[in-house]
Amino acid sequence: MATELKKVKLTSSEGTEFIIDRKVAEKSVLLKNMLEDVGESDMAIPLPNVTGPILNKVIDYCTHHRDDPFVSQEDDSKKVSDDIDDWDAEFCKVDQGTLFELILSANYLDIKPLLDLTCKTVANMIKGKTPDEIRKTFNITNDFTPEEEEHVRKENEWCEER
Amino acid sequence: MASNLPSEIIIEICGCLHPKDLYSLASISKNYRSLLWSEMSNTTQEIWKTSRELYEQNYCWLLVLVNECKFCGERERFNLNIYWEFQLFCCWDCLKQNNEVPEILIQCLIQIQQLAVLKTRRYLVTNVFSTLAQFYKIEGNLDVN
Repeated sequence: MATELKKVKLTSSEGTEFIIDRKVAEKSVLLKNMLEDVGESDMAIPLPNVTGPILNKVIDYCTHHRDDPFVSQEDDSKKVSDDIDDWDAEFCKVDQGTLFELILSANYLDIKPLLDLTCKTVANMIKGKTPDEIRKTFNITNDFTPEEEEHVRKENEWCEER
Repeated sequence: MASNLPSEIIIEICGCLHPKDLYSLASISKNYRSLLWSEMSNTTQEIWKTSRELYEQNYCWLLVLVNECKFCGERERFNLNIYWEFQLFCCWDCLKQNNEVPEILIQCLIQIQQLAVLKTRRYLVTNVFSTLAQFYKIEGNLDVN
């Protein structure tokens, strides 16, 4: 009960301050470890790698999932990307820039379920697409010369005839 | 995506992808080619291994060693297929008749295969009608018909 009520102060890269429940903050393994090391403190934790709007999203996620059981790193036996629930799917309906920033923040803050969710979302954007469609989706330039492209096509060929 | 995501993240994303998607991804740019098409790189090998969700032994068995249908012993390769989804090497008819795979999954498989073979796209009926309506509107203006 005591930990439930404790608050934690975070500052985003622009210096915006966020005050959140310690329980919510502890969804992040990075913050959890920091808080354990530092102990009782009123000092704000600076997060120079995370912008305010992104931190806001991350806090939304952690608040919604505050009571989820903790999943250990090794426990990802099944990697299927179609088990995303409605709230999470809605959460990931953001532009690509935001999505990638969320991935980077989840990675930095060490929030495994959020990292999984966002990576799955990107994977779903790739699934079933041709190379050209993937390039269009992510705005990637095809930097192969025509000869190289032919070579790539040949190398891939043996697997296309099923 | 290639420029702003570190490779550990790309590896994480690839972990959720089917081998088929990895092939596509491996042909989009030089960056992705070097990440996904190196025989020497442990990372590349790890990605492919996760993708197929099989142990090496299982994989080799299905891919090279087994040469007859699991159910009826048919050896004519033309009639046989690997069903990676169920880790089975068998005839299509045997797959349908044996209860090893639930009927509903077979139905799904049929749908998926048809889509892959025909490369057809599916549209919502309402979208088709609204597009048609737009088309006729333009056509009306052009005074064709």
